[in-house]
Amino acid sequence: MIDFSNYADALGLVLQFKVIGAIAAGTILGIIFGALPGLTAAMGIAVLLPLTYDMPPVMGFGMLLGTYCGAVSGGSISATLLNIPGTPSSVATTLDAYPMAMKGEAGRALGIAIVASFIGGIFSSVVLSLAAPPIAEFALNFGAAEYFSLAVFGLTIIASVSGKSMAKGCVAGLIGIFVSLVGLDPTTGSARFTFGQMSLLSGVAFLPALIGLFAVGQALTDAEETLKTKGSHIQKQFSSVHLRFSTVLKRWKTVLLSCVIGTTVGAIPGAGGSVASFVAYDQARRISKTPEKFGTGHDEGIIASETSNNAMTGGAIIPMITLGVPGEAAAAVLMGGLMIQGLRPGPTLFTDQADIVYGIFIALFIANIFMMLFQFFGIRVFVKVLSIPRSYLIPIILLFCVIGSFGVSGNIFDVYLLLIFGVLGYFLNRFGYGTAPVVLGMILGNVAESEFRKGMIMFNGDWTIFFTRPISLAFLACAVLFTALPFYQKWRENRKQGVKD
Amino acid sequence: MRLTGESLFALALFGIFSFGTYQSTVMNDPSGGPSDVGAAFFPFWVCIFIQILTAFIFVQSVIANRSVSGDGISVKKRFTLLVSILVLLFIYIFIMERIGFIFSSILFLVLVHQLLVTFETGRPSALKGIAYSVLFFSIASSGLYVMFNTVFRLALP
Repeated sequence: MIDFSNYADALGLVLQFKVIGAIAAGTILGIIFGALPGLTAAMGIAVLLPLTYDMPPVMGFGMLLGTYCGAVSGGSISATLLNIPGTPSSVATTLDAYPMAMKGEAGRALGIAIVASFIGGIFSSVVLSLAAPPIAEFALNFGAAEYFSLAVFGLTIIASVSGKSMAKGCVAGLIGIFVSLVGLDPTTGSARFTFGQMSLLSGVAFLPALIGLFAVGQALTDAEETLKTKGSHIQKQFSSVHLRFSTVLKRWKTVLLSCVIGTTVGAIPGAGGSVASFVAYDQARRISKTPEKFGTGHDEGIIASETSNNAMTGGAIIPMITLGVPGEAAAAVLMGGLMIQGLRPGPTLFTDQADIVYGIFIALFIANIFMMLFQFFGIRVFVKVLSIPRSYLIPIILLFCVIGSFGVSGNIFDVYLLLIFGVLGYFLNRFGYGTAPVVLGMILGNVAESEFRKGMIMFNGDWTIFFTRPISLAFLACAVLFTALPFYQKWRENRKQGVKD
Repeated sequence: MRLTGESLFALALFGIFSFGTYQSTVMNDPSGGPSDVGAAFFPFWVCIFIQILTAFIFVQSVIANRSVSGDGISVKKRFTLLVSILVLLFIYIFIMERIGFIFSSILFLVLVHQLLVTFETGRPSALKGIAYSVLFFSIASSGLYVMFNTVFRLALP
């Protein structure tokens, strides 16, 4: 049920100069992170996360939302000009944006991408504000059994769609769960895997682990790029960029389809922007009257990809804010942004801190507007950013990571943790395990264990409660389904191959 | 049998979590009540599952004789760059509280920059380039120190 009085309270929180300024700053930094190949939205949010520690919740989270929207959209800049996606969600954009730029229409491609991103972002913001409250209200019925099953479901989704193989995705998720178990056991108070370290008694600090996995690990991977690339050809010259609303809205069917696909895929834990943009691209080609033009510099290709990847942003926040299960990697990092403010995502956030929740919805709207305006007015500045040498960028990013880890707690141990997780993140990326499952394991592992043990104590050791309570059973059934699905798909492919042979 | 980086990493994870399994069996494991599974239940089973999966990945990678690279970078260069950055990071963290944020940061930034330039171009920067990077990173470190201390109120050494 939408309570418009909550919006009135939230407007009072958001419409302040410092909050608007923070959202604007986050958006600009997000566009820069998105535009630079090798730097991801999750990385940008992780690096800026410590800065929000001392800010009011809506201001801090608004800044991170700006970073998120800006980064997802900013990836289209390098996709268009360099044929290198700035973020994974812009891979499909390269298929038509770069060919269009090669024809001398880079300005047109960028104009279409900006408008498409804006429309997708606004659509998913509306869906978020309409869908989240009823989902949260439904989730108020959840007990220990339901939360445990939800955590299991979230973990199996992540494991099945992340990493190069399901086994590797599972290992990464389990590593995350293991990390969440370090420290004092909340039920009995016994120390687990602390090895006498006082700093580990309260568990592994979430922020340094997050920054290490996403930012340091990625920075180490990017450092390797200096060993191979000797500079890419940048299409620096392009005609003026116009906001191509008429061009985009003429393809309203593609826009609408991509909005729906992006928002839906974003809401599925683990799927992410790259899945959203490719599915939308593929579907747009199927419904197009000129499918043969896709891949040659066609408007519809750019529209499908950019609309869906920004529509993914609001979709990914839905399960994160209502159920505490992030929709994708960057949403997992965003969740960290709420947690360091002492806010626990989930249905109780809607009842206890409704003004903050609705403030977040409004902040997302504003972030999308800023994303469009800053890209439109500042596109030539952002293009210049592409020329910054990695040898300057990578040390600065590492410095930000160290500052962030140390500055929040003042504990040098956290910086050593940053180093350890940075190394772990590097190897997990290198060998195809992925880092998103680790973070999700860290978030959901705690939930899974505490709710499981709570349920067992409350129901006197009767483990059948997880299967006899309908919602819990439904989540576990979905977990089994998503685990079995890749095997079934592989069996079908092998069967088709066998029939062909 | 040729061990690739991927198989070595799987083996390392197997070893680490074997130790985790052992620790789970010897840890102090009080129960929170008659129906509680205990503090060691989850860590034990998580470590067991990781061991099973990493053993599977190890065998898979050895049989497939799979090498991850294919991007043309030699293992030696990659390893040298990675270890160099990590050593510099470790030293930076170690000296940060001893000589202060600004000086340790300038030293760290300049050294990492020179390392990357050397790997990229095959030789270190000329004196002019070094001087320019020292100036740039001095301004950056000082600016960030002031910004984080005053605007974001994050305490730095």
